[in-house]
Amino acid sequence: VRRILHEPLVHFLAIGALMFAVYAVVSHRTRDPGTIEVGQGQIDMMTAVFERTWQRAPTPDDVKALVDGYVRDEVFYREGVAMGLDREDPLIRRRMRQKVEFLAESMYGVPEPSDAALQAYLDGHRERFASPVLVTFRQVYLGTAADADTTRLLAQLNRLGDSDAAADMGRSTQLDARMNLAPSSDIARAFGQRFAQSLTAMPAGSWTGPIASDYGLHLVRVSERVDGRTPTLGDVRERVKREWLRDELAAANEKYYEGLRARYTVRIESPRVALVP
Amino acid sequence: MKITRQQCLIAAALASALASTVAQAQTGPLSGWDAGEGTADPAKFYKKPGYSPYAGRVFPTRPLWGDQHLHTGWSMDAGMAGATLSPEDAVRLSRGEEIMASSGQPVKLSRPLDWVVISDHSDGMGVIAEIRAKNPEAIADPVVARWGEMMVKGGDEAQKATVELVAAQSQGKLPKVFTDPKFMKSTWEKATAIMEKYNEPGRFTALIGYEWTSNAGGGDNLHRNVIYRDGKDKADQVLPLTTFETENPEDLWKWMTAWEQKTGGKLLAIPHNGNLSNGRMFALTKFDGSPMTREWAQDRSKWEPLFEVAQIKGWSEAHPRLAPNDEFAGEEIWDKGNLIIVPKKPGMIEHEYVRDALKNGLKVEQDLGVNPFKYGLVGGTDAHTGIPAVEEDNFYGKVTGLEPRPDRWDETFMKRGDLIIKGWESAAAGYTAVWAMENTRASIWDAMKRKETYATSGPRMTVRFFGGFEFNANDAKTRSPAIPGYTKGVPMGGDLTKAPAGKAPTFLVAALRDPLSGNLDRIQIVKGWLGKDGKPQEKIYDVVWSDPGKRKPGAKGKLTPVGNTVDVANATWTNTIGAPELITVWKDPSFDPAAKAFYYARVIEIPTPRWTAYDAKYFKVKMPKEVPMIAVERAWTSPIWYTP
Repeated sequence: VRRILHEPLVHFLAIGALMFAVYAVVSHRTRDPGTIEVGQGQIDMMTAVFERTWQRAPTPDDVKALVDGYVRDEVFYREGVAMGLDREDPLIRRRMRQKVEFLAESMYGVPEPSDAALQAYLDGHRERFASPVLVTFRQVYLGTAADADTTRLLAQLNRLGDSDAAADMGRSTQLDARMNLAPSSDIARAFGQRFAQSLTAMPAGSWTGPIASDYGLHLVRVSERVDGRTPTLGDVRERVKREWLRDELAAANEKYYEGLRARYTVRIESPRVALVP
Repeated sequence: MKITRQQCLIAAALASALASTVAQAQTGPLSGWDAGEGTADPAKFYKKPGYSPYAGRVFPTRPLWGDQHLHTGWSMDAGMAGATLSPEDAVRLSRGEEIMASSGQPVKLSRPLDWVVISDHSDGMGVIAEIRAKNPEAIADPVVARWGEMMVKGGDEAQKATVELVAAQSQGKLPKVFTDPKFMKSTWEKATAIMEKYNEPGRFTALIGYEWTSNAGGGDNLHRNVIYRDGKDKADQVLPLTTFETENPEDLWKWMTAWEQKTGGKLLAIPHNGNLSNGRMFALTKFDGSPMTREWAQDRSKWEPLFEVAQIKGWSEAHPRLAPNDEFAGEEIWDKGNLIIVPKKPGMIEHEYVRDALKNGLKVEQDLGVNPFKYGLVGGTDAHTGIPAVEEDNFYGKVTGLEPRPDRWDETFMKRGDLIIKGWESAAAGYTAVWAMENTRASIWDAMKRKETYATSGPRMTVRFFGGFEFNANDAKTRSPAIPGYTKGVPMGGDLTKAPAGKAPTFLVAALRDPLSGNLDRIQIVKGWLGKDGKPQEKIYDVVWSDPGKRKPGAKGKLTPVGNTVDVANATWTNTIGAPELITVWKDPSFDPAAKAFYYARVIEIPTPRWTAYDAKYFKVKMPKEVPMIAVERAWTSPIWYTP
């Protein structure tokens, strides 16, 4: 924790939060609770939001409606706050948390990662960026049971080899008769997981089977299998960068929270709930 | 976005896989299929074929699955209910990654989705990031520029900047940029940045969108999801419409018009939960109760091509009281009231369910010349958890409080007086399948716009539905129904006009079950038409079913039920009944060439365990009899319309 407290980033973010706390106190102190001022700045802002929403300038009636709406909101807002209605409202609490989190994120300028950093990240998460095994195969559907004809069909298919004519054999089906360089995940989506699994291990170059899918039994001929490979940074730079950035931000956000959290002493009355360390 | 070589490889692999499927077909080429938006023109399919039977055939070979309706912790109601997941978490989950749910349990989809729309809301944020980024306009004021430098330096310098800033604020001397909405870095822009980052053409599509949540008159659900065809550059130019500004859908259409004029991009809107609108979703008046006009009908049909027919808060296809002869109309019905359970009054449900809207649309078209309710069908989860997991055995609920836990079935989800909606009433639904050529924003959006979509209650069955005047029994023998389908007809969402003399519409319909879900019981075609008396009519035809040797229509035309293999206690079933795939050509037996009509297909699965059965088994809880334990999953296609 000490180390975190020395991080310039944490300083910066804590200052951001502090700034807003002070800001709130100061602006509160200078404001007369009995007066609602709708300054030109506020009107300009509402006008501009209107324009960015509707692609036209508000008419004088629109502006009046905006101001009336603002005043109404403000009256209820002040009354509600005076009654303490903001205190235990989960929506408002969640909103505040989100605002502070967003603010912290926007203040944290993540630097452009160096190639070395990205390479290290890729090396550390190779499985996440590996390209999948790709399989080209044909299949002939047998239905739910194999029989004596299956052996004959298999022999016939092996005489045919890698032929489009296979698409008309076996039982009529809407399942794909052929998939070309399909990743295992696509094969699984079309035929089910175990079928996809079978195909990654099958010898290539001859009709084999029956192989079970989630639909029944198939005769299958794998003609080509491209093994998965570990890409170079050049292949997957954008993806690696995206993942790296996300991890950096998540770590920064967590540090930020820990920094804030360290400023509080938390007492939990229930002995059944362990104190957050 | 830069496309890496690996992505290109996968895209190329997919493209050639698609091409190879096409190459097996025996029938003529398909040169005229219109991959763009709008309805495909049947005339184009009768072009003289070229010599090569394989040249120029382009049509989608696999439906692309997605959810066009997903909220994260960035939606305030979701956040209030405990959701902490961000759009980024939701997109990563949709792409197939395992993540931690807000309730602290790991979650993963059975299979990745192909695309997703995160439909959260927007709100304002500070100007700080622009100053840090040294946006020249933001730091035009030398004071602001100096603060920017100090912020970047951090430490004591940043603290000094903060003190100065606070002082300026208290003295009313804050530089103008701090209240300039041009620099309001909004949550919206943050959200669009995430979608941009995860949108990978050919691999996964992250569509930009938001939900405009009109609860008119106190909870009458008139919600619409707005779906963007374009990217962040256009989406960020205009602030999304909120219901702080207006609750009137006509204003949303005005906003969409202005958006398109300003950006040159394209938008569409998808209404949902007619069932919770207390008679207003498909009311035969404008929002303010005044009579519909031709312009109004034109606007509605232009901006709203699709309707979300199924989601966790119930299905809105048909109500058993409106369709007493439909034995499948009783499931997942939420008809106690509107979104805050203001009770329904007589006459309301007539304007809440899409089948009746489709029927009334024919009547309105007769009167005004335009059909305002020409809706294609899609599904969505409307999950407020960031988790689009709606399979019965992997259901993560509507809100974080209804994520898997032993007593979620008994939780009071909504309450008003005596009216209570319990957790168990949640439907584990639904998804959208899009027949798009490519997995890209433009291709998926275009398919949505031309209504080449279907909804499911959760399973991913493949459904083809084509209409034309020339289909015959041989077309049902093909192994690639898409070839005769696109060659001789129009796909779901399309239009048929001017029946040739003596011809009735024919439909080629095919379905292949989800490898992970139940077999198929039957395919039905639901027909709606305008009777000679000007009254809309409906009829449901069973057109193909499993085990036709044993199952025949009875005296009242009702097919013998498929049976039931569900073992509720163990939450299992067997695919020993039903069929893994069904296909047929059906001809309308009572066609009147002078009557407007629509036809949509409904694919019914055999009974399977409902999510409540999986919960009861996993958590070892006993639920009372009123809790349904068996689901009858299904798909609903967009209609094909016939206009004389």
